[in-house]
Amino acid sequence: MNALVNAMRELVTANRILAHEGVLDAYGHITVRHPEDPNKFLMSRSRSPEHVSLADIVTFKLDCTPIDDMGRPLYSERPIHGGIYQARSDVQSVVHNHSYDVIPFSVTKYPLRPLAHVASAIGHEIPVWDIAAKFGDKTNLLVRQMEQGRDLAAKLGQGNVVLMRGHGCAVAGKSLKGAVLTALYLQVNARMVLNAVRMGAKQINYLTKGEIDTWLGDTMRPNFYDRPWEYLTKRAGCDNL
Amino acid sequence: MSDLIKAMREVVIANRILAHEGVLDAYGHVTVRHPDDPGKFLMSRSRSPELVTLSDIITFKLDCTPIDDLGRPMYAERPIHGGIYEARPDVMAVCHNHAYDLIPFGVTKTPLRPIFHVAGCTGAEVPVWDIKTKFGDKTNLLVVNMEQGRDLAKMLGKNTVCLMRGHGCAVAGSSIFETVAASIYTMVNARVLMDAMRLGGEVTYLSPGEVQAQIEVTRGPLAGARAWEYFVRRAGCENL
Repeated sequence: MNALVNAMRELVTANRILAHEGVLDAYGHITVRHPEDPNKFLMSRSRSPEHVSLADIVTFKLDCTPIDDMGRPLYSERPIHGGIYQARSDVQSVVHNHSYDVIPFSVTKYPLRPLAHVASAIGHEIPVWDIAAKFGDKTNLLVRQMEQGRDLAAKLGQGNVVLMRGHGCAVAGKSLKGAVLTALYLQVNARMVLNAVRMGAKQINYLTKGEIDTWLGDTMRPNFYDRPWEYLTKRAGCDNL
Repeated sequence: MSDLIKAMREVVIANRILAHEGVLDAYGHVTVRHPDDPGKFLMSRSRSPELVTLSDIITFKLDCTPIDDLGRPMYAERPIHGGIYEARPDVMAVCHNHAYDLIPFGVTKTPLRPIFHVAGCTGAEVPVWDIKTKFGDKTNLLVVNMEQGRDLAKMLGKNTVCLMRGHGCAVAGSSIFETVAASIYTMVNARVLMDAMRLGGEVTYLSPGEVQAQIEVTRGPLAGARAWEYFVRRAGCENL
């Protein structure tokens, strides 16, 4: 199988996994940088992630212009992805989601930090981007222009996660599997923090800086994500895709 | 397919979607205005929404008198729907539900306001109607006559959602999709808002301008088509 078809197939699986795990619902998307041309990325046409199939994948330039859309409806928030790919040559995959467990942290000052090892890849500090800061308080909150996408990418900085106020988050991965696992455990970690707060915790014993860095180093090992990927693929019913 | 059959099919699908998403349980209902006669609306016979089929759909006048009930049992709370259709010619579909996450907002002074973009379709203001204000503290809380339905519709005003104290809510949209989406996302917003409040400190709600802009997104073709396909397939209604 050539690299492009393989990337498209993995992208379909990633869409289905994130839908199955409740990270993506009717909305949200995941993309991957084109394996043969770093100036392009692959993304489904406008369709809920649970229903994305190979025939839905469209190729885009980093400015979000479609190359082979053939008139199909497209997601309007492509600039979330294009902005991040432009700013971060190390990023191979981007997820945008509205995880219900994550959104509370975007509308309060309560920090979202990793408290369990599997969530280490969400990083030390998670910035919150507020579209109103630069684009006013009358937008529909959607990131539909490259200027907005670039502003979001600037807030992401060198991290893996940026929250979007009243909207959701963007997750950047060094690989497609890394982006999927980070988005999934961002949601799991958010639920754990909410539960700790519910228990009445005044102080949470988060992971230390060293613990996070060690895990981040481990994620760069080849095959690091193979075990969870096989598990998640089968759960989403994609093992024979 | 005639407009009437299409509308009946949409009522069935809306019932199944809202049951599947946990908005409706054993109780609650969703209706649409009759596509050929604005003086009528379509509603299932008395049956839990998950189980509703085409042959359950009955036509009612806006005063909630049935036209073709054939003696089948009917929901008692038809006046929630009739009252709103009478007062609001712009409303094409109504849902009444008891979603567990939003009931807390009907029994406290904590306002239910949208905090994330998709929930903007809830609207900037969500009033709370208390049946006992006008009908006393010995009702069973059910809206069973037109006087009560009209009083609820008055409290709803021009808004999309009205909470009903100790009971649930009524949702009124300009299309079946808007009513379904607002029913689902008002519930999701309630859950997310409760979590945000648990974190303590101030919560940032959507601004009035953002809410208005989101209402336009919900009414636009792109978000609607994508989400409708998603909800229909999840509820197993794609071949209905």
